[in-house]
Amino acid sequence: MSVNVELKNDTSELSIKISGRFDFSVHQELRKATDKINSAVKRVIIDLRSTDYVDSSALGMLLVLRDKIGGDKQKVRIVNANSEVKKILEIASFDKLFTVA
Amino acid sequence: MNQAVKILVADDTRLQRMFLQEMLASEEVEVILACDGVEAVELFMQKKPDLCILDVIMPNLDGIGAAKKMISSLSADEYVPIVFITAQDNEETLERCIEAKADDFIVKPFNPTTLKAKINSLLKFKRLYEGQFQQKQELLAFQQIAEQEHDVAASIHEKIIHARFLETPNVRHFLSPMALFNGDIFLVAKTPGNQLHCLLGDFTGHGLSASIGASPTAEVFYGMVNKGFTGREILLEINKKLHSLLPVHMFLAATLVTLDPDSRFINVMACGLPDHYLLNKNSGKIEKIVSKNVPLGIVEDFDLQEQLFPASADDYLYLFTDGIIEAENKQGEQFDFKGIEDCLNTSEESVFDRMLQGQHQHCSGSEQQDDITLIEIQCDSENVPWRNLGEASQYKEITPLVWKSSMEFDLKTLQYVSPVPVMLNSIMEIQGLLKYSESIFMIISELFNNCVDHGLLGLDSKLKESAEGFGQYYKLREKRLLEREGSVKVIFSHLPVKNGGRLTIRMNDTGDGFDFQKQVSRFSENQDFHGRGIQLVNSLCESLEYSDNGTRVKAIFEWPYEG
Repeated sequence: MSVNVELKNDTSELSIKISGRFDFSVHQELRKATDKINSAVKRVIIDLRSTDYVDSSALGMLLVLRDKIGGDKQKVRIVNANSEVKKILEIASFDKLFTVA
Repeated sequence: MNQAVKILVADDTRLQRMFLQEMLASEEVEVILACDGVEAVELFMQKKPDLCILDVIMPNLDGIGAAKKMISSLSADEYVPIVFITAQDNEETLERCIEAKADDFIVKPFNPTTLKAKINSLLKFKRLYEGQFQQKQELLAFQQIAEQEHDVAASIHEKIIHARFLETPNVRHFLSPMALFNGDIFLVAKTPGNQLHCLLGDFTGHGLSASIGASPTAEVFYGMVNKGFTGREILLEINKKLHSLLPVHMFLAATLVTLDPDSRFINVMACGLPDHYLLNKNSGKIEKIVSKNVPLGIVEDFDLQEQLFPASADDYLYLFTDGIIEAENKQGEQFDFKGIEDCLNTSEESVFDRMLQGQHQHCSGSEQQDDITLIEIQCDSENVPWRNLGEASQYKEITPLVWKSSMEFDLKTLQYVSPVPVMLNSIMEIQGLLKYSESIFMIISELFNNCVDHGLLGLDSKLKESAEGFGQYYKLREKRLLEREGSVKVIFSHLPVKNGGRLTIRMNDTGDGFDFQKQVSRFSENQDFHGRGIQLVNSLCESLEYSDNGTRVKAIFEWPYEG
């Protein structure tokens, strides 16, 4: 489990990469990442390339991120989710709340 | 300044005692002297020293015997290091010292600095031991508190769920205690019009925080079902309530199922739970129902997608939360949707038992996760097994009074409010006819819906005969509700009559009228489902009359009163 957080494009984009299980165990790190969101940050990219599991507390953390940046669907992109993770996002209709690519 | 450290020194040689006292005594160290083993044990009990230095060979009781007595008198949280002093540097003596649980020994003649170093390190060790012991106790206490809170949460949660729960034979449910604690809820109730509503939900989070959300959910659910609101209205209200209440990261994944005996359809509003299965036991056909909505409490309002299916006694709906799917066996494999589907495909009589058993077998041997919620709803809209269930009302009816009340509803208004529960409640408030609320609900809702659907919106109930037509009917209804204009006026008047009261319900709409003969008066010969409603109304009323080309209707309902 690890969380990699980077500010890109002159700090306007926050990139968060989560490896392994995305569940309550990464909650501290994700909170720190969420705290990095300020008015300069225009977009958040959540890269789930190396994520093999998400649970409901992970969905909750995603909602907190979305809330912090203003609740705008366009501003939070969830990318590279594998098919199992995608299924969980679909069940929760998260494509209606986030841009899932 | 800390309390002085007490060191007990036991030696039968006076010179040795003097020497040790001289060496150890200081502002921080109090030295207690004993001249044999017996005195040493006595002083040990009295003065509670922090450390003992014992000569191995002493009269009356030797050092080893004294040490054994001292150690056996200590409780689990106490630790007093013991250092032996011996002149004999042989293996046998040293072994006896170790056997007596000596922490260290020193051979005469010894170097004072070595002894001081040993004492310091043993005292440090003692403080560490006691500190750790205390922490362990504190942790144990916290754990006990947490367990107590766990029990309280689970019991509150269970009470909330069971308090107004309607037990009906067509709904089977299994919720393990762990699942309850993990925030799973299941609520069942029926409306005055005999629609059965079942809500299965799974809160994010565990324990207390999850059970906090259960209370307002159950409150809204039972309150609104009793008043006859639709599933859609109930679900959106719960969503609104949870949205205002829950922190951002918490939500309720839920599905509301409404079984409607009038239309003989089942309406599934799925918001973020794992796929449901609708099995027809007669044909073996399995329909997978996938969630189409966001879980509740995330957004303030949303476009709720409903899914309608024809419902017969052969149709069984299976709902569950993610616990059963994620249940792992010894190899770490999940039961998964495949485990569920295998159970549906068996020819076993009870799929429900099969699922529970299958899940249990799958997990046997692995650490019990015990987080299972499984629901089976037999969609028996023909026999309506829940029709006569539920508590008899304790409500006392009021002596028949003279009153009149009227309301008018514009088509535009109907997009926002559901007038039938409002009308029913006003009658209950005035006359307290709770005992007859089912009948009155039935009459008002049937007549009002006829006024709106046929009179104002010009819909043909023939459409509702097929499954696709049913959906089409409601689409068309929604569309015309936006396009057309008009209103319905409703007048209730009540009078005392001999042995009871008479409630007269009049409705008239501004529409062009409709062929009420064709739409609603297929009383006896026609058994198809849209005709049944009005047939039932007719049987409940003293009289039922349509006039003015179907734009006016008058129904008279009488009730007995003994005073």
